Amino acid sequence: MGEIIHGFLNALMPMNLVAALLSVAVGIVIGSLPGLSAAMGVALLIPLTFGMSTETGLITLAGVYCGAVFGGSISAILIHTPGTSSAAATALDGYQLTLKGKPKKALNTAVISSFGGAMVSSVALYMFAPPLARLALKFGPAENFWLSIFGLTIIAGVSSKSVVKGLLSGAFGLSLSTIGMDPMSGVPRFTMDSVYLLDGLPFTATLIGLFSMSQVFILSEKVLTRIKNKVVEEGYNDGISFKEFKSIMPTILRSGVIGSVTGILPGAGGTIAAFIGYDWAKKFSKNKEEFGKGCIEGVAGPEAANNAVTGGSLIPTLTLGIPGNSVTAVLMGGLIIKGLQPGPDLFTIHGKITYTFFAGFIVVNVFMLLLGLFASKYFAKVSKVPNNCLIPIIFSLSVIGSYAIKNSMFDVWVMFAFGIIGYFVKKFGLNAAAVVLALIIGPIGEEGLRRVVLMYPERVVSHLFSSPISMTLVLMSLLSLISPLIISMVSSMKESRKSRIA
Amino acid sequence: MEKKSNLLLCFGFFIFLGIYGFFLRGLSESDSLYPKFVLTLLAVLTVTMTLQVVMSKTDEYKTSLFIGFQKRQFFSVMAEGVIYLILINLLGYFTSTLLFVGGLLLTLGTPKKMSAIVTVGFCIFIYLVFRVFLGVPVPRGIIF
Repeated sequence: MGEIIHGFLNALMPMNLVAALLSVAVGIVIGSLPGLSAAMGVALLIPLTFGMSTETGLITLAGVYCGAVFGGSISAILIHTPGTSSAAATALDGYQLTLKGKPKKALNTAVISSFGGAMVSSVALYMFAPPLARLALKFGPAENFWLSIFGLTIIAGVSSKSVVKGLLSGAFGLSLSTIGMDPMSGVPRFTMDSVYLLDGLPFTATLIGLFSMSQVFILSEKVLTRIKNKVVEEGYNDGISFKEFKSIMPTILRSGVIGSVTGILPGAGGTIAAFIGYDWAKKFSKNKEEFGKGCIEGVAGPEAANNAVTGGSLIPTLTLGIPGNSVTAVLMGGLIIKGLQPGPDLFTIHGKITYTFFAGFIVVNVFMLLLGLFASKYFAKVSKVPNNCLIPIIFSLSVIGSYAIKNSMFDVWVMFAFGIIGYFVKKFGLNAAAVVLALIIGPIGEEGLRRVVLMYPERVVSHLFSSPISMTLVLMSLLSLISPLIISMVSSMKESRKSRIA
Repeated sequence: MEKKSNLLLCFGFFIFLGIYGFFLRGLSESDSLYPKFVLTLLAVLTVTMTLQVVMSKTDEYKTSLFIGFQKRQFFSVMAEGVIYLILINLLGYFTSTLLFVGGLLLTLGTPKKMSAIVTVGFCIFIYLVFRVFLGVPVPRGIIF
């Protein structure tokens, strides 16, 4: 309890408040720019946090994350172009409200719901993260090996369009994680005699390349139109009434829970949560026929759900080291760069930092609420920035970001190379998040396997399957691989039943 | 699904497998244990995907990967980017960024006045944020 209170007091320090406010504003700007993702924003901002204390740095990254998730809804509501994929469901009713001349009502609903969803998920964060971290204490080498496999199968199986492509992305990331010195013997592997690669691939540079530089190439291949998005200038007087606020409260709470649970499941992500939130809002609504025509519940459902994912996805990231989605994979990179290893230590040795981060998560959401209520209209103007301005700016920021960690131009070239790799990863439908996750958990898995081989040379296989935790992880890995097949079978059965009835 | 692009992807992975396997040769048995596990995993998945693509009856033999691809624009960004990275070693980060951002904006068809404003504004912004406020190191060149 003392650490929780200390966390709040620390998060309310002037420096942390300034960092929270500015980072949320930057996040909203990034989120409202169609084509730029929250993961890209967090990756670019990591180097900025070097000059900050660990707590301030983490609050900054959380601010960008939460701001970007909400920011995506601004352009979805005002110009029918979701800034991020998780805001796609918000566009359905949000833009209809704008067309009816009620953009302020839609924006207010979005930000209040986003705040509500995030608060539900922060309760989940406080409740579930510490016990899960205690469970991680029971993990030995075999469990760590299976944990790395489980992390990969779930992110590859759930978040990719094709399970095989998702797994291939993960395996590709695992192969990249073997570059550098062998963790046990120190023998260089795949380094091509370069001293720069002895410590493995520079993580932040790889991350910035895969998420930010690749976006430069994606934008460069498209026709750059000079047609500016029109932002609605009228209808900013009619906000949300208390009666309307009361009517969307159940939807916010329900979607908050949906988002938190979806966030805890690694790989599921904000887009899935938003559509489930929208679907459930419709199912439980008294105004079902209004959905799709500009219903505030249709905005509240997905917005509360996709923002609740932010807190939920931090739970497996901080406790088990399995990021819930691509943004938390990048955020976890920031955590590791700051010298913090996800797991039980975060809640014991580094408890003060972790609880400051949790409290900071609440603070950034308060700022998100304030900025969203009073400045959404101005943030919307950001979506007018043309792509030909974004291309050189993102490029230059990626360079400085990848250089700043080790003051090495080698890292900049690695970032550029991974920009090209990331471009092809996106083009061929592979999963960049799975590649990053594999880079993080690959060494954990390797160390686990090597230790088992070293300690139990005669019974490696039997030891790998000996503990209940290992078996649970194996079963969960199999389930995550089979689940997309089951889901597609169930949906095709539903479809055929529907067509038979028709 | 598009057969042609997926087959291209499989082909790319087979080449990667070959390179990865080639570099594995010189390692001892214990050092190559995990890489061999990864290699096997990659091989199994690549073969699975190849079979899946080849045996699929519904997929069309086509690729839409590069439809609408702006060749000149894309390679201009790529080339100017490489020149920029080389120039950093000579001119330092700020000077080369000034030249790169301004040059690329003009190449991408941004009006001159706007290019000038964005270039100068952006350079002042990164100088203030990275150098003055946060003290983040930036690449220094031979000249600057």
